[in-house]
Amino acid sequence: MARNPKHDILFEPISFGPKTMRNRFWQSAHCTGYGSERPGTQAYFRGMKAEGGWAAICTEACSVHPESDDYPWHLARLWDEGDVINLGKMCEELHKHGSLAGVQLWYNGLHAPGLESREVPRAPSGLPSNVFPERNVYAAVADESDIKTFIKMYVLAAKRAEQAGFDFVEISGGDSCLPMQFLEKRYNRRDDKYGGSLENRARFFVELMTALKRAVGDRLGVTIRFETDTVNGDHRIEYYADGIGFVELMHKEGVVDLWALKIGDYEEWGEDAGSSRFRKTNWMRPFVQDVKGIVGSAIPVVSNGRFTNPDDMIEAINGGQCDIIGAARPSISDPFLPTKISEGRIEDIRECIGCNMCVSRMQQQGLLYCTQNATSGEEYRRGWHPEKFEKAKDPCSVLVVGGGPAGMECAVVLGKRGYDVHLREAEGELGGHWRDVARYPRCSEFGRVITHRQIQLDKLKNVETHLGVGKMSADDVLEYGADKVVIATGAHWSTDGTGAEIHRPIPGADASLPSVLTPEQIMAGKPIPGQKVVVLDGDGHFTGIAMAELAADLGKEVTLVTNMHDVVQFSLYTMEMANNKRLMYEKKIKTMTNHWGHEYADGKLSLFYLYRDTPELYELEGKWGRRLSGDLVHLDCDALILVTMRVPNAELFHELLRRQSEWEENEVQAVYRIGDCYTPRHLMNAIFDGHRLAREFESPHPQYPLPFIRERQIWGNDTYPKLGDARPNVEFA
Amino acid sequence: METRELFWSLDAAQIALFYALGTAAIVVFLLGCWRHFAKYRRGAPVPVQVDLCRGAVAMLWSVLSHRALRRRDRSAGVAHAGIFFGFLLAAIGTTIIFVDYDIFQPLSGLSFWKGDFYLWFSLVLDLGHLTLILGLLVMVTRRAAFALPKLDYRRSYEGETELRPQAKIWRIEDWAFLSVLLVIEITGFLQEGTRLLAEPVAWAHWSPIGLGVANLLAALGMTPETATAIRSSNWWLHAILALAFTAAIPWYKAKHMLAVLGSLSLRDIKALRRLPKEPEQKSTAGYATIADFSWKDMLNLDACTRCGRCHEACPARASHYPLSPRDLILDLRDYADETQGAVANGLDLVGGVIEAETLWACLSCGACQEICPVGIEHPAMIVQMRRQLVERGELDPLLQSTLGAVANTGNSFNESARKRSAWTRELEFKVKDIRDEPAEVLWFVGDYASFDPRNQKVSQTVARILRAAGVDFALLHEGEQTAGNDVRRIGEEGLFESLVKHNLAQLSGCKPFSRIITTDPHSYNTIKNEYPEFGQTAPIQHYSETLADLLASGDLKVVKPLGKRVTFHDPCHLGRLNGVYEAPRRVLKAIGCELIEMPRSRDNSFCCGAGGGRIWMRDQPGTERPSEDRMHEAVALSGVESFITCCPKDLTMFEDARKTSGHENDLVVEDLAELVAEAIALDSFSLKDLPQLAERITDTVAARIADVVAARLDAVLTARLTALPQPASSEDSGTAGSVSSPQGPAAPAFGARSSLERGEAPVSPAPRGEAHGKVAQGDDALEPSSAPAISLRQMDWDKLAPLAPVSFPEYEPPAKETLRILVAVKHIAVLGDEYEFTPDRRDIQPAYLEHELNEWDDAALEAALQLIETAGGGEVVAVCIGPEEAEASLRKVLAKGADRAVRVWHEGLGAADPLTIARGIAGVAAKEQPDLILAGAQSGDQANGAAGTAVARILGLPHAAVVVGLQWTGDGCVSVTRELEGGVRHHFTLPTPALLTIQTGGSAPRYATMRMIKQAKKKPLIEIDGSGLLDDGGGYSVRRMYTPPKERAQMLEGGPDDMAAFVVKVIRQMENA
Repeated sequence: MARNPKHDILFEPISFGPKTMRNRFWQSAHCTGYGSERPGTQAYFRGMKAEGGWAAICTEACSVHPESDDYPWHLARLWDEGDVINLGKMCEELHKHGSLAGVQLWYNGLHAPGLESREVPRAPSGLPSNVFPERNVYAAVADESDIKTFIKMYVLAAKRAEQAGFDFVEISGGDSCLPMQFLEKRYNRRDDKYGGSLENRARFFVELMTALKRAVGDRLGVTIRFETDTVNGDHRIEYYADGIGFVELMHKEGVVDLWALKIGDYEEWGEDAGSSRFRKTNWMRPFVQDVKGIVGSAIPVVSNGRFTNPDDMIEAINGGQCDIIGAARPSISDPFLPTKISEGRIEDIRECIGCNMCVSRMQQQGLLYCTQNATSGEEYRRGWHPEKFEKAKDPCSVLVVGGGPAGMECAVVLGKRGYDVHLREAEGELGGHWRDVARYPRCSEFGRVITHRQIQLDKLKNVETHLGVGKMSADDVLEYGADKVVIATGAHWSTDGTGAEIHRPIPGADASLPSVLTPEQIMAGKPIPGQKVVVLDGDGHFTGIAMAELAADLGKEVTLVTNMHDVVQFSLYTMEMANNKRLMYEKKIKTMTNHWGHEYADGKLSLFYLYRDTPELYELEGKWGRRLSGDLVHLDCDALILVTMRVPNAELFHELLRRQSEWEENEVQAVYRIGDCYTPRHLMNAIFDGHRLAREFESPHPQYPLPFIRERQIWGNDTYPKLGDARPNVEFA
Repeated sequence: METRELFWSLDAAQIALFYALGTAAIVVFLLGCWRHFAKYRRGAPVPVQVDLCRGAVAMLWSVLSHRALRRRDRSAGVAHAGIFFGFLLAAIGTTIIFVDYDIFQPLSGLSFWKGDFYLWFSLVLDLGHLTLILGLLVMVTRRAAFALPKLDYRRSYEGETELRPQAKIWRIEDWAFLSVLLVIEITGFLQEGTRLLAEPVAWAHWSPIGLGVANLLAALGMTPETATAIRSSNWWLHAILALAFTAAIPWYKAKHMLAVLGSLSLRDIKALRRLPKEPEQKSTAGYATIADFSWKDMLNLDACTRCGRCHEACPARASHYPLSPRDLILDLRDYADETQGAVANGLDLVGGVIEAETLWACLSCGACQEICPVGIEHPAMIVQMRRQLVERGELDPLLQSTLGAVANTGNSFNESARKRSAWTRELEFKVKDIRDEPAEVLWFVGDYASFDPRNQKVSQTVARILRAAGVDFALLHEGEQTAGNDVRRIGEEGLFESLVKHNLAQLSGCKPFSRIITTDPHSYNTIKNEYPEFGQTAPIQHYSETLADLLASGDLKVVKPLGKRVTFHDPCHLGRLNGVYEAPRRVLKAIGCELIEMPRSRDNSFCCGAGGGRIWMRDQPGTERPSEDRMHEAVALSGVESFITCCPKDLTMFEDARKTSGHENDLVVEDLAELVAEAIALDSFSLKDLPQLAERITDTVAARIADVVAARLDAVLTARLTALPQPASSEDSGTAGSVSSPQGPAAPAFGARSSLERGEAPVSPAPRGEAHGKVAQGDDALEPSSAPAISLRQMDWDKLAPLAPVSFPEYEPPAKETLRILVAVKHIAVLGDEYEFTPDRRDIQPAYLEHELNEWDDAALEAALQLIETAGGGEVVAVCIGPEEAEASLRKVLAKGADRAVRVWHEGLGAADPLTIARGIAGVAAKEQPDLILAGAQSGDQANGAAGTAVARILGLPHAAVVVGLQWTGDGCVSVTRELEGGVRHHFTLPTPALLTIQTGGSAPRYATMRMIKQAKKKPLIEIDGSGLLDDGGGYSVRRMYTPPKERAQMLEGGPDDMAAFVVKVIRQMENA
């Protein structure tokens, strides 16, 4: 198949500074949690994108000095020789495929928690961090010599970057890091030449870029990732004007080789990493489209917008918005996106669904994984390639029961590995419970999970998909004639209120009643009776708020009750918290936190406050304990929607296990289970489960994973730095 | 005393005989008249009011002046005048004698028929009879010598080559009328001559003709005795003929002499201008039967003399539409006489005696009634009969949809009412809305001037002219609806009335205005003549009149006399119907144009073909449209550069005709207003128009360039394709249609030899002669990549025989022990989004094709399996005509539950057609003897949908197609449910064995489990040699495969609003195209 000629422009090389990109695909700096501490994971993860066609690939934010220590968040670091070695591996992998390696230099000033290094960060003003207020993080006020120190820190880091093999250094001008702490009035309280007017506030950034350009500019690209607007509500500073004003001012200096653009600061990261529930492709356009006109044709502009469709990309380029397509999430979801466009295989693109589970991992101080791409992060440690599958040496026939995401993924991978697969789905369409999810308010892009796999299944001649066959009994399975069976029958929402709090049913909460509903029932058309609706959310992800919005859109008075400390608490990790709260405010959805259901009867839901007992401990009837108050809150509740917990549909699997004695006579060699029917979990993990099982299908006990490579210091090897090493010479005093 | 003796030499008995004969003649005459009156009495009331006094005066004037008869046929007019006045004098003379002899003398014993009176009487009558004879002679000569088309009763417009029997009678009548009258006249003069020869009198010179005859006879040597002898017998001859002639008058075409008196007196001066309303309490619309005709209509019918003037004038007839007004009237007259106007029920008239196409052919131009000398009002009758057709819904679908559009949107363009004044948006000024502010003049624009792009330009010009002249005008804007003139003439009276009601309501709700002008003669006619019958309107003027006035008053000043040679087309509705002939001519004169009149102009103007709703109907095939006829007429005028109209429909029709008649470069078609604009140097251009103009110019240039490039490319591609070696074509096997090749047992070659392929070849092949030799050689070179050319016998069209099942002697199925169902399956090819052709371009590269079990056959299998399951046992046998790869599908079928499979194949069957396939399946069926044969309703790749049914025909089995449900009824029958269009279900029972073709969407086909798939590998799958299929006709070949040219696509830019606006624009353009 051939590339559509209109997409050719995406494959035209483009130069910035001393470097040339082979095409227009730029993997923007994005966090992974791999940092410099997991060099293999980092190198192979980024290297896969290089193999897939991304021409420029950048690290996550990379701290220039131990003063800027973001631990427990794992950023990259270029503090010493050890980091040079570790990140050097990444550069090596990228260069194998002809891609440019970039590093995003970062100093976090007043927002650096310093939990590992215990160093005190410096900043333009001595203010507490609003990003980590709960950690009591302050910065020391920088005098003019400290400002020179900052610059030296960056320059030394840039030199280490060059040593590691990086092709360009990208200076973060976003996410509230140091240059922005100078530029933004709210952080810059200075009255010297670095404070006050825009020119003064920009002075540090200009001096920084000038120094870097002088130091490495003839060998490396020196670029900026700059946010043109912080879009942050009340305390939004005059930034759009300052933003564009700054670009004009900086551009005049002629020290920036390329502008990569974004919006939203640290607090509004969710506007940069806009989730599909709130932001559609190229939502930043209005905020960034003027820059190209300012910097002219010689300086390339990179623009992001969760682009997965080449038509949108060429529109952005042809429309004068940018020269280069920046992408973080789409490159995670499909490292081979450029290759697929180039080969005209648009239908094979594994499109990002904008669920933000990737960033949620980093926000939980974990490691990056992806819902759509089960191999992301596994390139090194498990040796998985997203587009290559080891052919099974002796493929047998496999029956996969259940066409939800896990079953589909498993069937696809088994199919690609050469197994003879029958994927059987009880319903007339594939997708399992995810079909419901894709129909929740705002969640339509989540449907890409299903369509992508459907297309892949259709292409596999050795996989038959049977739809609408009804639920299989154990007899059906045993008589089916498959050598191996994979059960992927999913899970359902609890119908009795059992959930994460007290772990018991709530008396009266019975979803067989008209007034008690589960999300599945609602999506199947069960009407929500009455006016007053309570959503009891023990899940904290998107389902509770989706049900609340759905009911509110029907004109109901909705209260979202959760046992957690905040509503929709998981969305703190997916960067959706702020917009979720704005949404609830706009739709007049009331909220109650730290409450759980006590009883539901006669249209009244009684709730108890989780901390209704006294702080003191008392001896009660010979035991120590707390004195409970009997206080209850009563809510009028015409309809109670239970989003409390998910329960595996494990009956078939257990029945088959019970009848293991019959397997042999029916020539069934093994029965496995994957996804939610094993245990309910995030979709990314259910898909991973199906994928992993198929990858490891010939292992001795494939139900359970094979070991992976762990990256950590092994005792007895070199350390960097060693005790007694000198502090890098950054200070001037 | 000067007189002459009546009844000389007759005895009393002879005189009595004469009186008896005379009385009998009068009785027969009266009987004839009575019969007509009886018929008229059965007629319906006259639906319009007529002024009998005014009518009688007009009739007298018309009869005495003979004006109508002289028009456009002077010789006939003069001859008729001779006959008429001669006959009139003869009749008066006879009456005078009758009064004198039979009344005055018996009463008074005296006579006044003598003396000077007698002498003058003799002279006048002699001269009268002379003119009568001369008139008759002219008529006879005209008829005999000049084969005038209008006197030809052959309906060549209907393809008649011979006279119909009725027409033969008409011709006899015509000749009888002329010849009998001529003989009467000649015998009359002979009588006078012999009398004067036998009994010379002194006053003989008072009868100059008679004297002349006498002298001639004498000169010829006739003696008085001979004369006396002849005189006696000639008298009886003359008398009997005269009496017979008189008696016959009411019984044939001579009755026009009487009927015309009524017909002309009752003439409706507004006929066609104002059509009759529908009477309120009437069971059926218009004229359904002859009984619905009014007595006046019947009188009209009787007045027709078959002069053919209407036949000649009718533009529909001239364009070979199935209508001649004369023939319509004659058919109606014959039918009225036959039924005596008394058919109470039955609808045999409209659609029977008069065919619907005839009625729809009328253009409502009024040419027929305008030229008719006896005052027949054809169009009104036609409209009345159309009303009946409309009520029955027997309309051209296009017309029907147009009427629907008018009903829905108030205009015939099916545009939103809001768009009606969209054309004003391009004006530099805002046009007043009469509903909001008063104005001097209300401009009723009409549909074509409002919506048709060409006419919109004219409307804009008119608006600019009016503004330049300072006329204070306004529009009704979206308040206006079609005036309804043509809707009424179509016969849709109900819709017309609602349009009138709407427009009148709009007019009455307006701010004050003093008069209406319109650019549309059709609207002009109905508003002027018909609207007043429904409510109050204002005086209305056609814009040509307005322009003439403005030019005359100096409100419009000609700054640039045009000096053009132009010709002008009189719109029927403006000229002939409403007499506005001068205004446009005054305008043309004022602006300095030299008007060369059309040969057919003014009242003889020739319709453009748009009237009577014809513009909304399809042209009848194979006819030259009236507008094209008119174009030829205009082009024949020397030096005319411009063809001027002042009617939007004319403009549309003639702009079109100019191109279709091949006169695109000969002249231009312009509206009067456009010339006026030029002459007054109307500056319609302003700076703000500049961008649009520039855009239009660039578009035009770009389109030109694109056309040129495309033409070049086409030429290159065609040349390349032609240069390619031709695949085997039909020449080498000499199929039907190949004249040069002899028929015969040519080496049969499968495929290429069907005559079908010639029609299918998408690329124009090289000239056949050249291709012939080349092909024979090129064949081998090309063939290897496609199926080897295995032969089938070619179709011999002279020896067609029923198809027979092929015989498979070596195949022996297992003995039938139980219910057996045969399921025919196909392994179909599925094409992906991308594909490439094989190098010979006769097939798709196999790499781009995937194969699978045909979906419909899967449904058939499911039906078979379910049937067996419900029956509690049985055998399902799958049969497939297909190559080895097809075993994949057969194995699938076996896995799903079929018991056995049979595959028939021979490598020569690659291009077998459905009939060949069917013969193979039938051959297997003949062996298997199944109780039921099921097949998919069609195949997913070729979709012929033929093989299944063909099997049934070959085997002579009962069959049903598109079956969605079936079950055994228990008595050797199957109960079948078919799904028809729109979800209609058709249930019935068929005896078995039968063949059913199964539609998808019944029960979902089952999936085979892995165990079933494994087991299927052991089920019997037998291959049969299919070479037996190759010895008969059928098959097809692919000559070329090609990708249809891609349409141009355009990326839409801008915001959603811009895109939506663009899409709407494209749709509008397509609608108007």
